[in-house]
Amino acid sequence: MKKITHCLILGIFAFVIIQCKTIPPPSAEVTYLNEKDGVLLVRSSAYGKTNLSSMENAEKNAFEVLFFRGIPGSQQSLPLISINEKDKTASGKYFEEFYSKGRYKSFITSTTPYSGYQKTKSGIHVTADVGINLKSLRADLEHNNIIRKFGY
Amino acid sequence: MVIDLINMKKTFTLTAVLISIFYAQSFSQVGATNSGGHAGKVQPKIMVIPFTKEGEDIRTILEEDVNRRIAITKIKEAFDNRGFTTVDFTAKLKAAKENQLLTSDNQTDWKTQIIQMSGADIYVQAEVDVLKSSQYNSTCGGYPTTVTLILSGFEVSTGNSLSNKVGKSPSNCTIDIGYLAEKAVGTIADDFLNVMQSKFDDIVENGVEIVLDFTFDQNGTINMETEVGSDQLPLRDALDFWIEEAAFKNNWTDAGGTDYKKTYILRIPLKDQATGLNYNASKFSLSVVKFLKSLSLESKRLTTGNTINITIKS
Repeated sequence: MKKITHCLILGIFAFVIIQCKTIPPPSAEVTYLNEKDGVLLVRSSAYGKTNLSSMENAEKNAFEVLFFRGIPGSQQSLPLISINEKDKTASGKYFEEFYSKGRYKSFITSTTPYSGYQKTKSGIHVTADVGINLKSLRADLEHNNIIRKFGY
Repeated sequence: MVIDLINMKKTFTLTAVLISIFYAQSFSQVGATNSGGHAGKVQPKIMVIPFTKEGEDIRTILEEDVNRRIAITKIKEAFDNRGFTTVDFTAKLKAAKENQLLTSDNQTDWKTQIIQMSGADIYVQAEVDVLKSSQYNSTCGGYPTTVTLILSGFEVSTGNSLSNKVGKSPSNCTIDIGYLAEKAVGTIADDFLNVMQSKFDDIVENGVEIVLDFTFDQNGTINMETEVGSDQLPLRDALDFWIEEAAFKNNWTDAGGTDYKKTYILRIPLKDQATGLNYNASKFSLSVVKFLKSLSLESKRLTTGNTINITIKS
């Protein structure tokens, strides 16, 4: 009886470990495609536990790289906010609304899957072309004092 | 009891008077401009000007070349899209001509005069270069043409470079050079402004650079070696010690000099660190004059933008 209980506990433990895949942290897998009329089109990759979450993570990743790394090859090659993503904590409320409450979607003009949803050990991987309304995004950041307007 | 009441009344009246005086001094002396102590930001004045080659006349270059006009206008539009107003080169040129202010025969000086007259802190120079292939392209039915745009931004006072970008239009067989110039601007305008903004961020954080130049009145009897002040230090050393203390975040350099001239480059903050009000080279020059007075030295100051010229008289 004891042996069966131990095996059961071990089995459940192993099951939980296997199921709790660690989603890799966001990467800079965001590449520039083109820019027209204030809309920046980038190709972004991300992982997620579901198809929907992986697509949303790809969209959010595009914003994170734009904010804190810049998009090489585009006219926003410098970070839109700063190089230090820890600056997010100073504007915690803004980013809380931006990401968690889905406000970022209002700055996305288009999301087109580039690759299909691929199941990997790290989760579901997807690559998508994301169009970002850069002009409006910049205006929003300026309005909320996340970045200064052009000038002093 | 009655005396207590009278004393209380006197105290109350005195308090009321003191509070009124305090509030009166808190606000500006001109009621119409009273902002209740709020100090807005003073922005740099930026002017976009055309680059001129040897033999080209800056006074007529835009009138003669519509392609350069298009390039200049598109660059100004990029500033407008960021909510920033630039100083109009054409208007300043017109004013200079009408007032016959372009006095030199040297074309390089005309550019300098227009920039100085405009009061601009920063100028952005746009160079448009048209390259037409000599080989006929049968696919597009013409001679492929490319427009290259070189954009450079400089601080007027110090000559510091703020941003530099080179943009190219797609190669096209069109004869509409203005269209290609517009495309060339489009490839770099935002990036150019982003780099310039990063320099502005540095200025907001660490202060704006100014040039402080000391010379002596030709009728004076002193020079940089003259011993001054209670410590009887040579004037050049007294100035060094003062500049070291006065420069914002101790950011200063000795730009050299002689016994009769000395130049410093230092940073001053955009805001008065004591009052929070806007601060500039003109206000700083007053501090310089006061310091010289403490050494029993009379002086005259001339401030042009971010350049301060101090002439020590005695």
